[in-house]
Amino acid sequence: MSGLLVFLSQVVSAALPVALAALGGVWSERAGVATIALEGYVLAGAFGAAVAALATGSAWVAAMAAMALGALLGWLFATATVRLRANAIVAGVAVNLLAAAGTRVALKVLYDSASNSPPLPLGASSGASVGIAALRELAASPALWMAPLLGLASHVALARSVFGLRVTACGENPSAARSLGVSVERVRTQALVLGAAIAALGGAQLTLHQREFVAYMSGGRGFLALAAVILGRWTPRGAIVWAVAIGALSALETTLAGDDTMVPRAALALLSPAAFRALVQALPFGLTLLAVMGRLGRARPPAALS
Amino acid sequence: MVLAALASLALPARRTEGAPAAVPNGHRRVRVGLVFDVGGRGDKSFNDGAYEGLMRARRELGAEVEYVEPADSDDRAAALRMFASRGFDRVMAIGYVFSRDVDEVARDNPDTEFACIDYAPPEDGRVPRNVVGLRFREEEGSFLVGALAGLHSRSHAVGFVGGMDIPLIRRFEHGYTAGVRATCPACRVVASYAGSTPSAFKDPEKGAALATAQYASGVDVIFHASGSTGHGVFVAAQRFHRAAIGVDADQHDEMPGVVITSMLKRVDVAIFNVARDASLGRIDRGDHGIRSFGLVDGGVDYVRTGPHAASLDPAHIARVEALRGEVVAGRVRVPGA
Repeated sequence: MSGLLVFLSQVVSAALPVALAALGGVWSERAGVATIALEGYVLAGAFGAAVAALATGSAWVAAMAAMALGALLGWLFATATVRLRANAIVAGVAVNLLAAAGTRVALKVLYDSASNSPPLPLGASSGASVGIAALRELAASPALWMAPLLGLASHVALARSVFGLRVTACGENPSAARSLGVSVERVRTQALVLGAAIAALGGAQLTLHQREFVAYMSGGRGFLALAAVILGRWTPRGAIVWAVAIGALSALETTLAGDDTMVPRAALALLSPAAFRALVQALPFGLTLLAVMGRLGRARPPAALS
Repeated sequence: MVLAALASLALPARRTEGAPAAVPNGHRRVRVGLVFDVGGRGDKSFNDGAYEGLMRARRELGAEVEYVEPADSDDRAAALRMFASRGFDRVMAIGYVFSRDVDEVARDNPDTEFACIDYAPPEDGRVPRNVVGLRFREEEGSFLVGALAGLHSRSHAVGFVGGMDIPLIRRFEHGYTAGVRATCPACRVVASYAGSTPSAFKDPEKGAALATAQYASGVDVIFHASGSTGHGVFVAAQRFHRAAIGVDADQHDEMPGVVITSMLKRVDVAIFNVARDASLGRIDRGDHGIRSFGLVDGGVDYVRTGPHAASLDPAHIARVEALRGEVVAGRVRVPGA
């Protein structure tokens, strides 16, 4: 029972940042703009959350500030790609570099450190066992409660609302949308800003969980999220399901990491424990490759995605 | 020459530290230049340790010291050239990333002596004759904190969290495990690594996940050698009321009440030693250009005195100090690779 609680907490804490980033990715890719920039949004969100939490001592204000900073970065990205028609991949790489360098400069200027922010003034939770303490800690994070709400809202909005349908139209056939009087530029910009804000909330989760900002702490979660977007076939539900699957893989790898006896006997016949763990780590990317090759059912990206 | 002049223009972060102290008898006044890595200063570890050693050379040897923090990784070699062209007695580079830059600049400046912390020799193994690589026997320091962890643990299960799974970090693990075995043969040692790429040194969330799994399995002390990934280990230790051991520098202040001690890599000792040799007109090239510092010369150590070691049992420290004596005397050999 206790082991199960620990595992559950590990899955949730690994999946949460990826799921939020993936949800943000769905919004922007459904509008027809490739978002390699998710990694940058996560990192910027993590930093924004730290600044706000240090200033106010509130986890909720931290989450909002992360979303605001993400939205700002998303607006920059939208200006470059939608208005100025820059290549989305190049602009996305630029956003990632900007977030990595910008957070380090700000860290130096604001907190005179090359590596981390001061600890956040948030109360620590505790519990009778490791599993309960870990779950309580997660429950104290706004991101845990906002993620399902945002997922549900995104699902309904993309399928039913006027704005959601327009986003999809801009991603599938922008010239048809334009001929019906939809401002493709405006809809895409709105979708990119919204997506960036949601993705940045994933970064806030990292900072709140770690109780400080650490340079480069996004650690490739934005790219894992991109894998979840593709595997989930550009739907909010699919992206979240795959983010949770990636989280479960990560929790599995973490559990196996310290204990070679937990590695399945069958796998050991072929691989060393270290090779098995590396395989588990690489699995999401391998599956993504299969998905884009069309080997995992039909993976049809939005037609105008570029 | 022109290049060097241009380089010095492009290096805004050059600093000289006031008038140096008097030169002790038998020494001569030396000029020591030190090049940090990009964004290195203020890391509360390694680079700050190097600065410490440089300042000690200024205080105790009356050395003229100057340091540079390049603005860009392309400026590393330029910074080394700048010191060489100005006739510095010793030019020191902080970090293995400088290894090839040092080789190149040293070949072009055969009359200047260079030293590089954590230097990796070139592929052909031929270290230029005016280069000394400064290495640390991390396994010896890890051995002592392992011995301490073995004594400190009540659950008879201790953990290790490594960053990137590479031979260097394995050395920490092997030394640590040997230390645990020395004081607690019955203890279980659990070791996990954050990944197989350099980002494994910068992923605190991963560190927390690994530490959580270890603490949940009954471990009550974890030693980390994982860069900022280790912050996550401290977070988990605080969350679950367990103990952790820091690395490289005294990490007590990262998470007070959690870090019971830290394994110290005394970069300051290495830097000061090289400066003192220069000041005495000596050169110690070690073993084919590699000098390694260990317990015997204080190049590695652990925090055992003062308020940052308050949670340690004095009887445990005494036991570990006895083991230190064994290692220094050569009666106990600590496994590395």
